[in-house]
Amino acid sequence: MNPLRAFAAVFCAFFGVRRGRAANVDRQLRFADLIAAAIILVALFVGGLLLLVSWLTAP
Amino acid sequence: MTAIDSALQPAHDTAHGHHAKPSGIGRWLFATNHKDIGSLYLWFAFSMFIFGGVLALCIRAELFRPGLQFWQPELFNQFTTLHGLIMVFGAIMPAFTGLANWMLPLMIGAPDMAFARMNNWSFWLLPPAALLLLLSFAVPGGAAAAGWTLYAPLSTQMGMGMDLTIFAIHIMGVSSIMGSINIIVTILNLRAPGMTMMKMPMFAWASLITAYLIIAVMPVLAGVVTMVLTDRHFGTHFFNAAGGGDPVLYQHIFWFFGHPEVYIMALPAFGIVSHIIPTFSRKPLFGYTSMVYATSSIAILSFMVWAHHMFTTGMPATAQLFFMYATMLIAVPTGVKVFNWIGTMWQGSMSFETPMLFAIGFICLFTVGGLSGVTLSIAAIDIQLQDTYYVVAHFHYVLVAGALFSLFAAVYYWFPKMTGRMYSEFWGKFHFWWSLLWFNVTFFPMHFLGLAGMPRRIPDYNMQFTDFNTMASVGAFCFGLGQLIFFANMLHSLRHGRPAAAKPWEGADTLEWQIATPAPYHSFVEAPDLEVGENGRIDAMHGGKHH
Amino acid sequence: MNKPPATLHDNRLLLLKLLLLACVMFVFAWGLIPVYDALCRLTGLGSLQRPDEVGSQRLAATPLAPVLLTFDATVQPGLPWQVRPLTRTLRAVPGEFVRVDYEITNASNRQVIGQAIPRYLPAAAAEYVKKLDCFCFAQQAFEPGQTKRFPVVFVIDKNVPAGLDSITLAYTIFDVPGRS
Repeated sequence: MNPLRAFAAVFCAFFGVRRGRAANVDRQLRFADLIAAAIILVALFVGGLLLLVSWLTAP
Repeated sequence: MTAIDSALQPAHDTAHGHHAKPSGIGRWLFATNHKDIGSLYLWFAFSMFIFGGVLALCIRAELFRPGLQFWQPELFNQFTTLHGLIMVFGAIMPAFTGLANWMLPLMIGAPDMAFARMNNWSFWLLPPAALLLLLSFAVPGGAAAAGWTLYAPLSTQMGMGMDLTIFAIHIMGVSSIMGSINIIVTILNLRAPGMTMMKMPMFAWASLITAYLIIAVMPVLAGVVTMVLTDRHFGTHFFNAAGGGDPVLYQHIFWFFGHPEVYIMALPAFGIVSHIIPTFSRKPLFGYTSMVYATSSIAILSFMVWAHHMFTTGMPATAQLFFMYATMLIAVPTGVKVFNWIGTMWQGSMSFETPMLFAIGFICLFTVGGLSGVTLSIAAIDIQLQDTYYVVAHFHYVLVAGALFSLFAAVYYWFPKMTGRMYSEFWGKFHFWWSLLWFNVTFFPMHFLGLAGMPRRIPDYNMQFTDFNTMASVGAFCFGLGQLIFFANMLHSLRHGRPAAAKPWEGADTLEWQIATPAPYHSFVEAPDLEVGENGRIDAMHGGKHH
Repeated sequence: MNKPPATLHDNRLLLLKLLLLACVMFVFAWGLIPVYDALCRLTGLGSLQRPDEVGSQRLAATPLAPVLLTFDATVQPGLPWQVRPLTRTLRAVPGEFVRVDYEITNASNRQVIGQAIPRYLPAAAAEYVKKLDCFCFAQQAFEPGQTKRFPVVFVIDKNVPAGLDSITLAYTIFDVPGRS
């Protein structure tokens, strides 16, 4: 199983759009992989927003 | 240990104990049947809805004209506080739990909820909690008057009404956590063979995710009101600046609970609408998978946006922008849902029975509420609109036209299955159009009031706000009157309604419509073998026994 | 394909896990207190009362021109105060300690509590007037008919822009109702 699949699944859960076929494959993902992908993506999400914000508020 | 053992008895064991329907008051007091408990929840929620509604009318009566006519400001503040608390914790949340109790086992082919006696307990905790809130009007100092958010330092200073409120919140929190545990275990462990997760009805998905949200945030609310309690009585200084605490800390912890709470009241509504729209469009739900993912997306994002309720507390620009962008992003999955509902209706052969009317009303008005929510998420604008009637208009659009309309839709939709009788279609439609009209007369002017600067939670106001307030008060009284039509329709149809067919809605395809009407008292005592399509569509059912 | 039906044991295990989650979240709520505390300390968010600094870079570089200071006070109509500065104007070199006195009288026959709010003209001058002591820092109680004298001690910041050669400091006194 491609480890990137877990990231794709979590990303789609952020975005809210997912193909039915892809979701069927998602069911075979391991729970631990999903949690790890979710934590990394949340960190990236928060970090990305903070970066954007600090760039905007820079003098 | 034996007491716990017996409390955790699975449902079908107790069901085998007595096949007959218990009768008398004991049927309700010692109810373990998910249908009985569901009915109890719904009746409780409706009576709380009436009680909270009367409080709302007390508020609107005072605001009909400027100046003080009926109530002193202290009592007025108690009304606004209790109206909020009762509608959120007494009406909307128990109503969704009640619907989940009634419908989940039928929709996924389970014999009952997983822990039938815990289910009884989680319902019977609610009436004492409601009683505590009611009693608090009679104690010295009156009921809590700090607003439903119970902000410190107001909440650390009030009379004993606040203590009663805190205990009531503790009890309701325990009740909703137990109810949620029951829902999760039922959905994860008791699905009939063939009913897989990614085929499950949307209402089950929404209830599952909502239940997880409740377990994640209700303890946080319990924690923060406990801190208020210790600040009040045990000399701690969590929120007392003079003692080294910080009142803003209260807001941070409260809104960590408070924002997911918003979605606890919205997600089940999304689930209900995701059944009614396909049924009356006679088309499968468009983008089922995306609907599931969007629901989980909203749940995840709801934990990252709490500080948008606190833009005026003096946050640095970095934090304001962070929470502003994160909040705006929630509009993406919500928009996915709205487009999917519209896509479901697209080219469908639609018919407009009462549940469908309420569902379409839900989509239109919820979107209005969502849009004003995006407006409020802009930090620069929010600083102007904070604590004005614009906010009141916003959350009544999402809670009344959102959660409440979806509840009406659900009750009309499942009424035949629950009672075996049809409601009066004419009065149902009348109820919808009447509610739609007066809801907008009540709440739309509040946008203008807020933009003009009228603050919320005040009993008196400047002359310039008179016209719109008068309009809103007239609308509120008419809206409230309309709910009596609903009540009368339900009561009359319960006894004298036309007998309903097993499947009264042509396009309904989920499991609950495959069994007799009214639903047998002990349904799916033996799990059926199912062939299931997306959104719980039943393609074939084999076996399955009822008593 | 179908997994075996869940047993009573499975249900209880899940129940315990969910109860544990609820307990963890309860503890998490209390854990937020030190988390916020640490976060505020790290980012400096919570420290709203920072020690002020008086600019001193230009101390030796250029001779500073004195600034003309004017003192004023106003009372909203209907409030019981009489306020007057004992010095109307003076010239002060930036960096010099200035002390002026204000005399406030409670002209009513009841106990009142007052709060003074300072105002600067031009408004941009506000950040260059560094007050070390002021009666506006606290609410002041007055007996009926009582007259009190209060000092204001301040320094004009040495970073004051060259064009700013005249500053007016005006106080408005308000009633604080509901306290005695």
